Amino acid sequence: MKTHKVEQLILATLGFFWCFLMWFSTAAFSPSIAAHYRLSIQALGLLASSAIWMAPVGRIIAGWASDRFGAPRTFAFILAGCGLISVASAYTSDYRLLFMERTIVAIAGVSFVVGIQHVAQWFDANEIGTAEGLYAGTGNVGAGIGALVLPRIFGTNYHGAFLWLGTIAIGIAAWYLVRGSAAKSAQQRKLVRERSNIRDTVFVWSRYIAIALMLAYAMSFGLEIAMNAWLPGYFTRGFHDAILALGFTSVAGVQIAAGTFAAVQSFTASLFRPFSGFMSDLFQRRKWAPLPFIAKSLPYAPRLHWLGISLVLITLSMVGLTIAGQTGSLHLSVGVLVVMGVFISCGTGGTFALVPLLFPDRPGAAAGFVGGVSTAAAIVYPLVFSTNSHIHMGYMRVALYIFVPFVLFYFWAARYELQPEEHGLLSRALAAEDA
Amino acid sequence: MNAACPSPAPVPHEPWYKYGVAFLLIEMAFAIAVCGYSLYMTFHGYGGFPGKHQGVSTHTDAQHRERSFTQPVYARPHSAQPYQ
Repeated sequence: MKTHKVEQLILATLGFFWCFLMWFSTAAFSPSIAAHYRLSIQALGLLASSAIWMAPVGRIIAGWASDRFGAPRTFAFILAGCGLISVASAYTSDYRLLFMERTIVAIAGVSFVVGIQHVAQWFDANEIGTAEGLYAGTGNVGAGIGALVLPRIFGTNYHGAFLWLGTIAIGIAAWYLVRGSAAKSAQQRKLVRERSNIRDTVFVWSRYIAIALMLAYAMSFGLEIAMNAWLPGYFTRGFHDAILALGFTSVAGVQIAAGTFAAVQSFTASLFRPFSGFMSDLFQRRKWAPLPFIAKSLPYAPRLHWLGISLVLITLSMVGLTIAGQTGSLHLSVGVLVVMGVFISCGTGGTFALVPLLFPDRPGAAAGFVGGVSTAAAIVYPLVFSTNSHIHMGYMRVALYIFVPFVLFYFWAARYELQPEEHGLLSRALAAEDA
Repeated sequence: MNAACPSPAPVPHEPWYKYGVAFLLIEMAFAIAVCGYSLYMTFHGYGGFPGKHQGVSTHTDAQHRERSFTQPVYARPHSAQPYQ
């Protein structure tokens, strides 16, 4: 079959976009579902949180499966499986069954690591940052588009939305199977397939640099999704008087204003992500390596420096958010939040510009580990944010007690001038004999 | 910037790359436009993106309940009024 890497990039991006659309479609219709089934606040919260339950473990399995069976088969399986369940959920009238079906549909969110593996198998080292950024950034927009567009098209008819989303997903799955190709060459595909065993997976998981990248992704993507959940409540409580002064005096109005301020972080973090990949490519091309301690002689050293800069900027923006909150200025806080969204995108794009280069023979296992385990951080941050009675201080606490150690570990793990992936918790013999 | 990295000479990009960069610039412009629009709307007392211009009451829920029998209260005045 004759194909081009851009076709494979479009396939992966479209598949990921649609998976994210399905992933967050339940949340988009949660008011309608809650009204139809007369759900309590607790039940609504459970429905909302169920979207992320499958992500940590599911992404690890999906990453391994994409190495083992190839990205097109894995992606098509996820799309078709979630699509079929989505269609079934359109005809369900029992809430318990609907809840289970929508939890299964949320598995679509694990497809992120499959596309990362697929793109990594087709694009060269000098353009991997932009390619992965375009894939992940554009695909991520599916979540925002779902929240904005689906309720406008379907109104309260979530049955119709689930039916259409599932049917189109099955169509994309068929297209992916027909036109998708797992790797640029048969030799590359064979090598990756042979490395998809438990010993090689343990090897990846135990590498210091893989752990550092996982923590970097927890600082960026983990923070992004944690803030999605946290920020509306933060603005409602922390800037209640300022929002009232804008004219949003009803409960619904305050919710809309707080939700809008929160959404700018998510929107900039998603849509600036390709730019971060481009910046990683630019650092590589110009051979910029300005940071101390981090390796300077590795072939991909400038990309390590770009990610290091991004992590420092994320930490500083967290401190900035606390300072802005302390001043009581709503405008300043929202401004810092927009900047933070850009810095978060630098972290997410910078991380996955490196993962395929550090583990070229195990891209799926590495992407699954970095992209999967890091999502658990989204559960931790809001807990820390809410431990202090002074609501603005939570960001400072996370920056000082979580992010600073993460950044220091990153600098330490990225200091090796030769094959950083050789250094880890387990010896080579224990991790993988032939790694 | 320190240029200590001894990686090989840069490889010229393939033709697709410039279109990819153009696409990401469009995405960035879109993000800035949507954020700018939604923040402008919100800071001026409107609904913000996705633009619930007609659904944002300027009154408290109690006032809303009281007045809803006599007149619609969803219309937003042009200037933001401080809460009183």
